[in-house]
Amino acid sequence: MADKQATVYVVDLGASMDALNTGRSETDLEYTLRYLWDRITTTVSNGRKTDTIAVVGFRTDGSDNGLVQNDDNYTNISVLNPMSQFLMPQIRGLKQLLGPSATDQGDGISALVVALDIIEKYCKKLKYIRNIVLLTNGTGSFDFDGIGDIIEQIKEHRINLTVLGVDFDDPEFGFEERDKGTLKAENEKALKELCDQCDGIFGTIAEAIEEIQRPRTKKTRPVHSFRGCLSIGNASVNPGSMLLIDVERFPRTMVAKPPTASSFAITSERDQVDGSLQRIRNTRTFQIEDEDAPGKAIDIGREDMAKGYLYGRTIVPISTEDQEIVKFSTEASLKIVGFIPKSGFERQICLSNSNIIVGSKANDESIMALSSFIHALYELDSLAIGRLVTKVDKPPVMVAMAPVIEPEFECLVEVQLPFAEDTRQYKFAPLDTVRTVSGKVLDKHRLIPSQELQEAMNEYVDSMNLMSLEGLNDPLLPFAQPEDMFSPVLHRIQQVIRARAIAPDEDSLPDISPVLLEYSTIPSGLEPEEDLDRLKQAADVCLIPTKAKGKKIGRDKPLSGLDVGKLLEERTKSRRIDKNNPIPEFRQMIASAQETGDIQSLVQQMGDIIKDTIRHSLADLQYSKAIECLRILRDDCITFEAFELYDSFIRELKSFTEADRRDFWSRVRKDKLGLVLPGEDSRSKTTIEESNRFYYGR
Amino acid sequence: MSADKKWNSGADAADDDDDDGRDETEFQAMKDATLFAIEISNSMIAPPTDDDDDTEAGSKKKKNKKPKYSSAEAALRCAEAVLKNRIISTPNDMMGILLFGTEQTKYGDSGSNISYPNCYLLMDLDIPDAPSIKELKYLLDNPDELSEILKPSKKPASMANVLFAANHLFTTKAANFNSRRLFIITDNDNPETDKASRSSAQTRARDLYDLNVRIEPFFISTPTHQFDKSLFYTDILYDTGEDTTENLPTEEPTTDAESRYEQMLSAITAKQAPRRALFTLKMELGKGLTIGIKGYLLHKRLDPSRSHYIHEQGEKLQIVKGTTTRMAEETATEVSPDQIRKAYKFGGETVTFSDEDFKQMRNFGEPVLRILGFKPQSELQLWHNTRSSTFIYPSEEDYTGSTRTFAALRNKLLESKLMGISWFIPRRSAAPVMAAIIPSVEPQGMFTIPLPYVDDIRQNPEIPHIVSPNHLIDRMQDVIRQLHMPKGYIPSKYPNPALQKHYKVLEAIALEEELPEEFEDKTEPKYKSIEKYAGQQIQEWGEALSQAMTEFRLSKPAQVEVHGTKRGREPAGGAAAAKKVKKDVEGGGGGDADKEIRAAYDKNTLNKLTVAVLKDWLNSKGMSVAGKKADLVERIEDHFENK
Repeated sequence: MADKQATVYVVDLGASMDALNTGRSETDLEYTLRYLWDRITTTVSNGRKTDTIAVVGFRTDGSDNGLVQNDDNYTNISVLNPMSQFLMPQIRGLKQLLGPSATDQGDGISALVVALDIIEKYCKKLKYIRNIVLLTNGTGSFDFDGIGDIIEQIKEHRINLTVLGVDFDDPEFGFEERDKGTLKAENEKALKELCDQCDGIFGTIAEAIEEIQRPRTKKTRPVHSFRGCLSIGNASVNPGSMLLIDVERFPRTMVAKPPTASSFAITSERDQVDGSLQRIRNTRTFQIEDEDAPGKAIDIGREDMAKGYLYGRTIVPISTEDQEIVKFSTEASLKIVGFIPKSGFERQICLSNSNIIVGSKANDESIMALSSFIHALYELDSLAIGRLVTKVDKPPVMVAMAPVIEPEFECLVEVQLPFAEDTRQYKFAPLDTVRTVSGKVLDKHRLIPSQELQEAMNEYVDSMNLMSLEGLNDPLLPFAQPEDMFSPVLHRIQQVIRARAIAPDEDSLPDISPVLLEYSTIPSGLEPEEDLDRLKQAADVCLIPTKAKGKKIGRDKPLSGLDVGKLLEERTKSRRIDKNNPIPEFRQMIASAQETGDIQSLVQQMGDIIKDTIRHSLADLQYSKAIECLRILRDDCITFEAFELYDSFIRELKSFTEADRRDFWSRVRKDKLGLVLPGEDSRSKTTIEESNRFYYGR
Repeated sequence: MSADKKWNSGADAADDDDDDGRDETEFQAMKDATLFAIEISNSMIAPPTDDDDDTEAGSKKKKNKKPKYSSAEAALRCAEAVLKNRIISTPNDMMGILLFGTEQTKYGDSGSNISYPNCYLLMDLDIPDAPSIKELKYLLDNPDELSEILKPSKKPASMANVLFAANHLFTTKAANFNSRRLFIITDNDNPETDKASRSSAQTRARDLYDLNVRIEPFFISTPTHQFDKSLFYTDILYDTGEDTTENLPTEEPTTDAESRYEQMLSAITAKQAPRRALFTLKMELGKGLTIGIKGYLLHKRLDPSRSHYIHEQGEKLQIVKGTTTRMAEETATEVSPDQIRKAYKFGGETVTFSDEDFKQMRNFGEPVLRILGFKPQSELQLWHNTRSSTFIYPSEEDYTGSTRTFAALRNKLLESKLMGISWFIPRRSAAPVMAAIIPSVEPQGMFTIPLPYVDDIRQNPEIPHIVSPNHLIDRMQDVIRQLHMPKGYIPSKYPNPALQKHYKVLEAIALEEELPEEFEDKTEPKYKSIEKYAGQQIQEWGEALSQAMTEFRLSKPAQVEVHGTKRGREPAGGAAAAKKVKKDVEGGGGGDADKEIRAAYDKNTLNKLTVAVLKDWLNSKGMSVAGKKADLVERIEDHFENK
């Protein structure tokens, strides 16, 4: 859990904030608010009750604060939002209030005092991170009388003060305003001094806005996922020679998930209009098959249910009490199985996120013991293999552990490895040789790179060396170091939600922030063009047009090259599809058909077979078979440019199923075997709406 | 997910995850049906010939010898092994066994109007169930009954018939299966000699090809007869386009009678899982240079099957089907799909988007694997890992020349020990990841390894920095050298004990066998060898550690006291824990905390302790710390009661 935090934003709303400056198309206020809204929505998106915000405006038309009653130094200062957790109503409320006023009266330092007062009253002496952020263009009045007391107060309460000004000079950032007014220059100087004296931050808004483009990463406090002993050996064999080190395990990587959307319902016309949504509750009902019941299924209650597992098709009932017998009992432990050389380790078998293992933090001896383990592994260039059980009765996992030694930190990095069952034994033909049908092994072939291609590739790869490039977000990091790469989806979705929250009427989404696309293309620092051209020539890669792929049907020959087409002639000549072998015969005949009339007759026959199958199906037993025929029919009609025939058949089939085979139609819908869409054959005129109406309509 | 979780799903199912970056459901929905067709003939059922040294060695060796099987029986045993394996790895796949050339004829009971003489359907093509597995087991245990079935007919079965029988089985039983395979196991390389029957076999093979049934042959050669597939089989086998090469599947000719079963088993196991591509994708090597690749998942954690709700009261056991209905909370009326809107929670309210926006916000462009450049492989740290890798292999389907270009890249990366850095969107609207591309020696191809983003990196915990003195490191090196496994980690040596137990128990119950009493757990360290090779070194390390600690404490006396936690209690694990090298392990350390908790238990004042104390103690025992305080107290009470 992060610490409690209280932040007061003090915003200059004076009439002069409404001016356009330095060639910007936004007013000073709009410019400033970009920063403010970003900060506020970021806090809101964290959803923490203990991260509270207050907003104070100064140079406002009215005066509304706790101090003005007794002291007219505090006029033209308004508390726009008292200290509270920010939610949507606060955002909406604040939006109304954040407009330029008609006055330039109101003192910025007094506003600061109001902010101090708010913090002091809210936080009392409790543990809080206290922040005050002052946003101004520095053209109004700042009365620095008695500033000493204020500095003392800021220090005493350990308040982090940030002052950000529109067009303030910042040599470090590299900005200096020309023709700056004297008042503004004086104010800037005094505000800078103020910040210096209470360890605050002073800067120009442009820098802050640049800063907010960079996605912020959320810190998660490390929470251990295992505490126990790393052990070598076992006490049952010899208690004297068992090595035990108290360790703790923490995640090192954990994929940060973007916020997830929930489903809501629009239940009435009214909802549709005002966009209000209803929560959805899921209710589960349980059914079993029953031949006699209407709908062939009956509901059963939970009390009639037991637990079981499937062994193949067979149901194996195992009552809750018997769960123990399938459970594999374990004790939390990290047992070392052995050590392997790092060099031959197949990096690709790692299955999981990575974790770190450190000595138990309250135990110096463990830390020293683990340190000897870490250094020894490092010096021997080895990895440790272990069997890890994180909690009692959790299944064990095999892990690999590698040493990490940093200047002030040492740990083991641990990643999970596959078991025997987790590896799939797929066979792939070798890439360096080709074996012919007769069993001859070739090393020269169109599938094997020629020497020319290999050389071109070697040079191209060498020209694409990334090691000399710096990080695209942080130049101090190497290119594409994980620390330099932001998760695009995570920040994109957050960006979109925040933007929509403050501008709910906006129709389009904001553009993807360029920082999220930094790593999506070849870096500009590389110049591989020449080598690339040579590689392209040597590789001679050709795109196969989609049409050419379909035409292949019916031309394939067995490995021996035997002309099966000739053998099939006898059969195809008859033009009668055997209902016991419909798919192959249909495909063979349609491939050899010469005239449209022939295709029409084949589609007709296939259609009859499909209808027959449905008609004679006991319940839905034969549906799968019919669906498969239907799919082949559809695919081949599209391939042979006869989709109209399919469309007219499927219309016919729909009315055929309407009598008492509606369940078949739902299969058609599920498998998307309806009307052919323009995406499948460009001559089709069927729209998506039409297609849907055809699937769902009566 | 356990059944218990399903109970509660109603409450939180509204927060459904729309995309976790890798959609494996589609991948798993591809179902496979495999039919074993085993030829039965005199040579197939002949007992294996004994080789010379076997007869000499005589009875002494006999005990260690693996039992010998005829080719047909070996094939059946392979089928049984595959069957059991598939129940674990792909429980929804179908399998069947068809014998051909048998004297008896048996083909289903569907009363089909076509007959298949001399074909014996030993196991119908279906998802396996206990009775059929039992029957197969029974036959393999009862040689007499088995040989009755395996009796060859006088005249061999017609191949055309066999292939048509397979056709029939696949179309009726496994309609719409993406993967349908016929494993033919035979030693007869020239089954049909007369022209007419050859032609009709070729036609029937062609039918299977058009049905997308892939024939995988396993040919048995004998020392006296080398199987010649060009006599008959090359006329019925097709290049399925799945391999980018024109290679025949590399079947090992099995010659040695003794290991025939093992060889056959390994050949069949290798083919057992149909290759299923996870994605087909463009790989962009540079601007304007794109090749085609396919991705495969070669390493994925396999979990025990989840439990189902079942109904026991009826005539037969049934799986209960659960259906979820979505109801609007206020009106309690059912909600139809077109009434559902997706929204994000923000600031106590919801932020809504149209479906269009919803898709758009996740869109980062077309799916692609785009190489940005190259780095040395040594830049890839072990911790740069977030989940399993994907194997990529070239495909000529969309781009000719893909294979040679891919191969050239792989050669270069292997030779210069480089890896590619890439922008990787595996499929439409999947979250883009940065991935390292590393070459693989076996299987030949490359792997993509998703890298973490800065958002995925967690902070290090704060722990005191204490570096071991050199002499202690040296002692640890001695231990490590003694326990060196030069061959590295070989996954096949470590079956998942939890998974194995799960299925062994289910199998025993389903087949009505006795529950196995002990389970072999190959993941446990080999303690005896550890003691034998490194016992001495571990003791020496332990002594060196005590000495180092004494020196450390003398040099920094204050530091030792500093790390008490702020509540001033003894930390879990206890400061003495590492000394356990010498002590009894039982008890698990944390003596004082133990006493405190025990005392509180005895006095029934556990409730008065803070949650942190309770949790620490539970943690030190490796017990769950989930739940409210009352749960923790109850768990601790249970612990002592059961002691």
